[in-house]
Amino acid sequence: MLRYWKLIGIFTIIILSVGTYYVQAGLASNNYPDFSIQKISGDDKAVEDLTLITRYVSNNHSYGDYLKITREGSVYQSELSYMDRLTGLYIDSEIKRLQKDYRNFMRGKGESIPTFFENEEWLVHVGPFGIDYHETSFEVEMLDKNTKDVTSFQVNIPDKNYQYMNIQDVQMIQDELSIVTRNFYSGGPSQSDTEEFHVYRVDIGNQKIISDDVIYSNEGDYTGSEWTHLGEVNSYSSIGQEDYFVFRLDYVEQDDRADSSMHTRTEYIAYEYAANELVEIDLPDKLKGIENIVHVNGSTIYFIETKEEELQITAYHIENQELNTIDIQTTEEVYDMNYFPIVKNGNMYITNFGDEGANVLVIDTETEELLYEGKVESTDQQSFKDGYLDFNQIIVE
Amino acid sequence: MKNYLKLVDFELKRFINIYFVLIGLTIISQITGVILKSRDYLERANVAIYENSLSLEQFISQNGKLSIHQLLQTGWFMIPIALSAAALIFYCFLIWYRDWFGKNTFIYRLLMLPTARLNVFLAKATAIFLMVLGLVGIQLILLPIENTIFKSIIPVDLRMDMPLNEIINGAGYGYLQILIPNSFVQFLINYGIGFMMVFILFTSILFERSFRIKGIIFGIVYYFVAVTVFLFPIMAEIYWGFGYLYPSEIFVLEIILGLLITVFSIWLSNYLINQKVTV
Repeated sequence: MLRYWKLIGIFTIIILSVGTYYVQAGLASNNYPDFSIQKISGDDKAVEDLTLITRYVSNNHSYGDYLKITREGSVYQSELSYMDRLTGLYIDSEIKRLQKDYRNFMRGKGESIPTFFENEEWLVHVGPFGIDYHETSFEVEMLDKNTKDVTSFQVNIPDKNYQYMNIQDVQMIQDELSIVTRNFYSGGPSQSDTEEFHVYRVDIGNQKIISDDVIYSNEGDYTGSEWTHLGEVNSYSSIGQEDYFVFRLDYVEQDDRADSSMHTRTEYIAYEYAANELVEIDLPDKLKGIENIVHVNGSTIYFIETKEEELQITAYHIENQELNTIDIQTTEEVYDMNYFPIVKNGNMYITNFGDEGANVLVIDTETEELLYEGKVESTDQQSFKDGYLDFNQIIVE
Repeated sequence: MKNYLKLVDFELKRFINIYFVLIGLTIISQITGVILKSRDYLERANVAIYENSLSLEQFISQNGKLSIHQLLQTGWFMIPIALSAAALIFYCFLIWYRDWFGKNTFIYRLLMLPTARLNVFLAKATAIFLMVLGLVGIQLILLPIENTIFKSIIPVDLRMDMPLNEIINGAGYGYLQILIPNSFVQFLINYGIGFMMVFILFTSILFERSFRIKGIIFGIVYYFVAVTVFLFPIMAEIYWGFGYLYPSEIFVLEIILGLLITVFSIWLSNYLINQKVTV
C-alpha cells in the first residue's frame, strides 16, 4: 500500500476538500436575505395564491438573484434544483403553464405573450413576434384542446412597405382571427417615420386574409413641433378573450430652447374586436398625465395613482363611458409610482415597490373594498439598506 | 485492476516533481500576494489617516473596504492557476510523446506489459484527472488559509468578510466559478466536459501515433468532429434560434452526447492502441 502514497494522497485531498466544500455548500443556504408577505390588515386568504417574482440586488451590485416571495417565505433561483434552474424563475408564468400543459405545441414558439390566444377550446399562436421587411407572412398554428389536432397554415401579409412590425395581440372571434400589430414605416429623407396599428383579420376556414385595417396611423399627428408615439397598454398580461384592444397616444413636444423633446400628455383609444371599430375614450384631463399606471381588464381601464399620500384607483368603463373613483385607505404609506397591478377573479392585486420594501394590496373590484393589506418584509433588517428588490412579475395561481 | 492502479501510480510518479513545483508555486505566490497586497492597502490607510489626517470613514468612502476579491484579481493569484492549467494541458501531449521520444523508446516496454493495452491509456487519463482535481483540492484548502491571513493583517473596520462560497462566486472575471462552481451538479458537468476533451485529445494523439503524417489530419478532423457533435444542439439553438428543445431537454441530450462521445473515444483508442499503433 505504501508505495501508492502519491495516488492515495492526491485522491484523499480531492475527496476531503471537494467533498467538504460541496457538503457544506449543500447544507448552508446562501447569504441572501429571506422575504415574506406579512399581513397588516385584512384576510390572509386573499394572498394565499399570490406569488411575487422579484430580483434582489445588493447596492454594490456584487450579487443579484431572482426569487419568489409568498406569504410563507421566499425561494431564490440559486436554491432550486439544477433542472428547475434551467427554466428560470423570470419566465412568464402563463408561458410556463402553457409549456407544461402543451409541451409539444409550445416548441419553438418563443415566450411572447401577445402572440398567443387561449380559450376553452383553442390555443392559437401567430408568429413570429417581430416581423421585418423581408418576411411576408404570418405563421398560424392552432391547437384544438379537445382533439389535440394541430392546424397550421401561413397567410400572406398584404401590406409590403413596413420596415418591421410587432404582434400586439391575437384574438379569435368565431371562425376569424384578429391579429393586432404595430407597424413601423421609415419616412425617407424628408419625411418623419410613421407608426401604425393594424388589424389583420384571417378567415380560419379558407386560411386567407379578409382585411387589413389601419386602426390608427400617426402620420397626420406631426405638426412640426408636436408628434405622437403609439403604445399598447398591457397586451402582455393576458392571453385570453378580450373585447377591446386599448392603446395609447403619447404626445411629444419639441422644446427648441433645450434642444430636447418633452412628453406632454397621453390619450387612450380602444379598438372593439367584435364591431371592428374604434371606440373613443373621453377622459378628464387629470387622467391624461403621462406617469399614470394603467391596467386594462375586460372593458375596464384602471388608472392607479397616489393622491395626497393615499392610493386612488379610477375605473373607466369603456362600454358606458362611466368613470368611478375608488379611494383606498391604507395603514402604511404608499410609495408614489411603481405600482404593478393585475386583476384576477374579481380582485385587483397591487404591489407597490419603494426604497424600504413593498406594499401588497388586494382590492375587491366589485365592492371596492380593501380586502388585504400587507408588506414584503425581510428576516434581516439590513436587507433594504444593503440592497433593493426589483419587480419582475406578480402571479395569482 | 491492480495493473491499472500500478500504472496510474507509475504515471503520477513520472510527473510528481513538476507537479509539486506547481503546487509550491501556487501556494507561495498566492500567500505572498495576500500579504503584499494587504500590507499595501494598510500602508495607504496609514498614510491617509496619520499623515493626511483623514478620518477612518473618509478613507473608507474614498477607497472602499478591502475584500479578498480584490486580491483574487491580481496576478499573484491568477498567474499560478493559469500556469498550472497550461502545464497540465501541455502534459496531456507530453504524457504520450515522452514515451516515444524519451530514451530507449519506453512505449515499447509499456505496450509489451502483460496487461490490456487499454490500461495504459486509461492510466494516463486517470493520472491527468487526478492531478487536475488535486490542484482544485489544494486551491480549496488554500482559500480559507489565505482568508485567515487576510483577516489577521487587515483590521475588521477596513475589510469585508465573506464565507468561502461567496469568495469563490464573486471573484473577478468569474474564473474561480468555472474551476469551483456553485453547485455540485455544475462541478460534475464542468469536469465531465473537461475529461471528455482529454479523451478526445488522447484519441487524436493515438491517430497521429498510428498513421503519422496522415494521422495528424485524422487526429485534427476527429477532434473537431467530436467537439462539433457535442456542441451541435447548443450551437443550433444559438444560431438558428429554434427554441425547439426546452432547456431541460438540451441538458439531457448533452449528457447523452457527452457520454456517447467519451465511450466512443475510449473504444476507438482501444482499437488504435491494440491494432494500429506503431513504435
